[in-house]
Amino acid sequence: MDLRQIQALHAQYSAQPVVIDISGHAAAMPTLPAPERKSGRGFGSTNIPAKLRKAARPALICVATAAIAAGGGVSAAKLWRVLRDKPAAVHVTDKPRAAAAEPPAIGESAIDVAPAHPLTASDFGQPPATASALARVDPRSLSGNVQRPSPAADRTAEIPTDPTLARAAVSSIHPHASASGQAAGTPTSVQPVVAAPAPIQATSHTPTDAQQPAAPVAPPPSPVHAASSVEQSPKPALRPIRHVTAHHAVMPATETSTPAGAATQPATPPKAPAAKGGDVQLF
Amino acid sequence: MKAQSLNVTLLSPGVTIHGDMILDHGLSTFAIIDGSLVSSAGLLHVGPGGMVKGQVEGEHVRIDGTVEGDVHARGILEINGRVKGNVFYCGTIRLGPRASLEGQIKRKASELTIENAASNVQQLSRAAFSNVV
Repeated sequence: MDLRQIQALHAQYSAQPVVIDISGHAAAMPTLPAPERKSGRGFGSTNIPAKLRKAARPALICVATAAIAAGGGVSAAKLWRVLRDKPAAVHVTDKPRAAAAEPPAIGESAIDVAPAHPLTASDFGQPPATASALARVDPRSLSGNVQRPSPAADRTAEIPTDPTLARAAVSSIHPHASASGQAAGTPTSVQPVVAAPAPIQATSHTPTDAQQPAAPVAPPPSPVHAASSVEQSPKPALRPIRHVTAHHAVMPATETSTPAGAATQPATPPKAPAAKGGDVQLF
Repeated sequence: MKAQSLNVTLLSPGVTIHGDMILDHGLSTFAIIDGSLVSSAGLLHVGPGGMVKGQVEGEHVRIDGTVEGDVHARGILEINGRVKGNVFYCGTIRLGPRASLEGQIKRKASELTIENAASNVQQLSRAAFSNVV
């Protein structure tokens, strides 16, 4: 390739930059209005009718929709009134019957309501001595154990025996003290139930004494000791109750095994639970 | 529009260059170049007997010799020689009867350069000059 061919080749690919004549293109399109002129002029009178024309159809549509909705609402309201008046009439007819049926119910409820002031002995005109005696009784003792005798009987049995027992009876933990006192003091009526802790303690400490007949002979829970222990701390008073329940669970088996004859039997069966359970460890 | 004078660099046969060449005008090479050739404008011509071991990138590229590397052309690409590498082009591609390609041909999106008016260029140049001074 000589120089001329090379020069011709390069001339063939010589750069020819593309120039976009924007002003010439704009001049070639005279139909397009200038944007600045339009923005400067036409915000006044010419645009408002056009806007109104444009907004006419949507406004008509909105008005028609609102009218339809209003008509529907009015008709719905009328229907609602009609439907509402009919049940109201039914209720009006039913109300007198209900009113006639209600007064006895109100009277019953008035009877059932508890009195504002609890009834006392003074309301019934009884002598004050009996009222004070009843005031000493703890209501929990009345509702506690059904198998126990009445607290009045206990008090008659306890008061003459010891002044400490009398103090314990006056105190708030009277029922527990009386329960422990019954184990030693009144064996006649409560013997199978309340005397149970005594044999347990006796057998746990001295097995030779366990062969003796159970309740009346058992010396360890003397009334004075029981009352003093109850006065010192209220917690031990709950433990004999647990023993009573445990003994109840055991007693039927022993009674079925030995029907009536053996007097030494009641002392031996508590030996097994005393060895097994943790009841003895509580003492 | 200005009438640009033709400005071309010529590398005759018997020349060997080790390194890259960057030009703002056309080039015709019949030499052996061990490096890349980059031309921002004009024709980048690898004549018959010429050889480039590297990348060739130009506005218009015509290869009649041998290129061992990738070829990039923003405009027209004519290959009538041997290329060992990938070929990328934006405009048109033309393969001659003696074209030999060992690589892939891919078309890229065209890169348009809009040249500003002369007055703007002058203003920019003045601003740059005042900042420098």
